Amino acid sequence: MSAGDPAGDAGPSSRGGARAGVAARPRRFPTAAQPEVMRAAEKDDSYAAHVTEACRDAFRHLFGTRVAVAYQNEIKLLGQSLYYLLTTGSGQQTLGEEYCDISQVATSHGLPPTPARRMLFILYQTTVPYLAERISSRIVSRGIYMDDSQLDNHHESDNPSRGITESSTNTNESSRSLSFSMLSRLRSKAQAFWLWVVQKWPSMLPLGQDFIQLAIRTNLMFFYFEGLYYHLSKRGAGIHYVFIGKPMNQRPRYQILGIFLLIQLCILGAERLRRSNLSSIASSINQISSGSYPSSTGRSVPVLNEDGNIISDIRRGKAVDLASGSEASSSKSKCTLCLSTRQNPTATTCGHVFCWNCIMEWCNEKPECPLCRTPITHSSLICIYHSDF
Amino acid sequence: MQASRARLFKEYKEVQREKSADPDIQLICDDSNIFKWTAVIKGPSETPFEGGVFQLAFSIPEQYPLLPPQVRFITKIFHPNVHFKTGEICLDILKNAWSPAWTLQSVCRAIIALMAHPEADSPLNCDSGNLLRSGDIRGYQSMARMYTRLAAMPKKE
Repeated sequence: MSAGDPAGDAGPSSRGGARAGVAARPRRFPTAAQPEVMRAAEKDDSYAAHVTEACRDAFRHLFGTRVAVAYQNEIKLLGQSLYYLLTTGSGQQTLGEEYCDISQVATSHGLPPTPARRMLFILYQTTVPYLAERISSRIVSRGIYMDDSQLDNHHESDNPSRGITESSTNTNESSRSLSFSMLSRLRSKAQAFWLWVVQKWPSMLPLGQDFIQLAIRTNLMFFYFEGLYYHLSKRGAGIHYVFIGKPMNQRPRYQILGIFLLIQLCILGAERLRRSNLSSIASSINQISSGSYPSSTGRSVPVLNEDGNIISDIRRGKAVDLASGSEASSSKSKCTLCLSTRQNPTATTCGHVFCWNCIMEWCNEKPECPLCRTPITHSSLICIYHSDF
Repeated sequence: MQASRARLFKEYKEVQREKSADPDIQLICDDSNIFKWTAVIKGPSETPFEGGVFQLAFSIPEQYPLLPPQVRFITKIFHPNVHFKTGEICLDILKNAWSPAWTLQSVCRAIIALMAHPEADSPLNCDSGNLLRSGDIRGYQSMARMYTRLAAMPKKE
């Protein structure tokens, strides 16, 4: 039968192939489709959130709100671990998996995962993200602390420790001192590495986040294609799902989404490459432009002279700075009082924005909004920093 | 002083850029003094001032735009809110309701609107105001039209 079928035409071949598969592996659950896996994951997330919430409540009642807030991350870890330990850890389906009629299997033989593998998964799912976040934040805070205490300090702090180790080697026997010096050298090397990491971390953090984001997205793309591992943790533990419910007629697949993600990743990668090229070009341009800065101001002078010709000669001197201001100003961020680009944008309570000086002077004259006549006071004027409108 | 100059210069540029935007208003800056402007406005249609061309003189204070510009009609006009001899205009936005958000251009527009909608209750020209207040619309309109024809129409020779 299976030998005859490939010779047949395209129409029946697929059905025949499926039948052949069934014949070859008669009692095998189909792998779970992406929708079920995703639905199960969503359910699990919400149930884990429930457990976490319950843990938080318990903590709050037991130790008070302050402790609950201080140990927020730990409580979250506890809640998640509890949920996964009680479900996956004890060899049961999780609630989400049960809801979607899917079950965990490891390896290609379709056996349930071993306890060790399940533990590994739980570790990946709960503890690793927590630890990563914890270590990262620790390093960041350390970096901030070190920036505060000056950079020179740790040079000095290095020296006394070296002095101590040297003195200790002198007092001890030669063989022990050798091992000691090796140890101390190792330790100082580790310390130097640690320092280096701490210093570099703020610049590396966004990169690392980008990388993690990219990894998650790539994993999602693969999930859409093959439909095996929705989470990185499950990929790491090698746990995937089989469908044990009633077989449905229609099992949607998410390949198209995967293709879109692939395209997106390609575009992202291309842009990253282009930007790295551009940045090198831009730096070289920067050098050139800083050199040519006086020439650019020189260029604006003839333009102004044209303006000067239009208006009278007396005002030409004034025209220089005025026109240069108007050239720089964009049309939308103008103050309606001086008709120039807003300097220190300041909002009234009615929501209109002017220059600080303009509205202040007008407020001295008459305490109402120039645009809508809403009564205003000096104290109600708000200077808006970081405004880019 | 500095601020008013800068602002007037901006307005000047704006007027130059949008010369054709409003054909009823023509604003001209004095050649040697940016604080002196003249405006030529057309009388609004369906009023007795239709067809007339009126000249306005702007004298702008150094505190502009915190203080309103002083505007008066140079061309004679028969209107309850314009002084017949001096050309002084009684318009709230040029007095106590001034706001620095007005520009010379928008002041001109306001004056055109005033020409179309005279306010007889605060007259500078009592004869004109009395005509309106007594309900003699026809008398007011014919007087205004006559003065428009006499003073604000280009002479045909």
